[in-house]
Amino acid sequence: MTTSAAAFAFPPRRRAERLSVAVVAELVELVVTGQLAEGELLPPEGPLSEHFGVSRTVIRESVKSLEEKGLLIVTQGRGTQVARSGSWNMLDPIVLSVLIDNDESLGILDELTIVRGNLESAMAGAVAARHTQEGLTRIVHALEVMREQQQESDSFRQADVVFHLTVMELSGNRLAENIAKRLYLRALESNRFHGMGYENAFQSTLDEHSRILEAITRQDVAAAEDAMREHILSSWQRRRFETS
Amino acid sequence: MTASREAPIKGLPTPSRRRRPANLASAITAELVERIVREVYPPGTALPPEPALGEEFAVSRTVVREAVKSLQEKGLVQVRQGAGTIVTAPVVWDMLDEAVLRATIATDGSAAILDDLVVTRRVLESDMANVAARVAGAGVVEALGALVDRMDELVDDHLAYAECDRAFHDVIMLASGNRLARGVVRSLESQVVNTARYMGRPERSLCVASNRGHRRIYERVAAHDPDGAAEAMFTHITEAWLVRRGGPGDPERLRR
Repeated sequence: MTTSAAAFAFPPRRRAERLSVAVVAELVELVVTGQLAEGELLPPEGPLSEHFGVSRTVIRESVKSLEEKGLLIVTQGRGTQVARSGSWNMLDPIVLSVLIDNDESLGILDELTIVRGNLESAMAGAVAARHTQEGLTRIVHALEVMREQQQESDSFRQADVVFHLTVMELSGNRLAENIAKRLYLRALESNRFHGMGYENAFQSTLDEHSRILEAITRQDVAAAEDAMREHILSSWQRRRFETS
Repeated sequence: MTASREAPIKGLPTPSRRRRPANLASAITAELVERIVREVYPPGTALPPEPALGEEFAVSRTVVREAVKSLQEKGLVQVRQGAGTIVTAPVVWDMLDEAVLRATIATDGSAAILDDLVVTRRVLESDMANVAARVAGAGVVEALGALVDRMDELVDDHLAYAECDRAFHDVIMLASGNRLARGVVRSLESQVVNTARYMGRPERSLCVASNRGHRRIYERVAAHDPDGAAEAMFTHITEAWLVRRGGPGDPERLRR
């Protein structure tokens, strides 16, 4: 319960900001799922403000935010149009979330898995090329934890994530690490993305991780790259069939 | 006429006044982003409190709050009840955000961050070239051929060349159908096209060498040779960067 005094003290802008967050989310969803088609005109501010039950200011602020995400084009005199999907900022956190939530029809997780597979493969190669003994010990340890957690799918999954994040961190490629990690963690929030229900899930995951570790240990760059890419792509294929 | 669109709505500030705080806030955001990236405020420490920031920049608390909110959206700070606004670890920053990437590149004296960028771009674009070679129809092949021919004519005009260069890469990325991979590359690229250290000297010989790489990619895509196209893209991006790249650091990491 909020006391009436606290409610009264709450600055009104905050309320407008929160409202605009909700309107932005809803508008992004309408555009990204194609309910508002590319090239289509957005209804004028008046009807929109009525539809969402918010002020015109909130509508204007929200439209501006969608414009920044590349989803809308505001043209003086011609109104506001849905932009072509080629200019959408797919990596904007809200746009990406909506894409992932609607993966069944949009197939974004396939694309995300390919991006991850490529980036993590380059990073695994970098770790194979150069690593310290201490770094190697961390990867070995991460794999051991996975082995110990085979009976417990939640802990196993966590250990799996730790293994991947460790390799990324050791690569020293701050940009690739940052991008891959953000995509990976966001995908993990989606139920469609993980699943250990398929046959031999634990064993095949462990085998593939061991192969990555072996290649890194013997400093075989090409093998480390291949093993990581292969693991990420094929485990998604297995999970994908499980969910569909 | 735009007068009716811009007319102030009763009870709201006029458009010009409405715009000012937004610009102020984004200027302050940019300054704070830079300080965070330069570790004037290191990860784990608190930003100065809102009133202090407001005083330093001579702006209202509303403006400061807006700037802090934008830092939060970029993943640079976390607002914790009681502890204040804490700078987060670099790994959770949104590195593809314009301001964050710009400040990171500006702060990095070595070419290390640009090397990272090239490695990242290279692996994604090679894979997209692979897919493009598999799926490209006649239209795509024709467009690539036309761009390569055009670039041969533009080797003395580096600005026009650079524009065709970007178009060439984009045709391949679009053909691959991977919207997310294209999004990553375009975000990375948009921040470096204005960076002299990345673009290198505008020299004819560099354009000539770069377009030899483009022609090789085009030929492999036209031949529907996925591995050849990926390899050609990989080599093109690596070599084009190595001749532009100066400065300290270890270009060895770019080799495979």
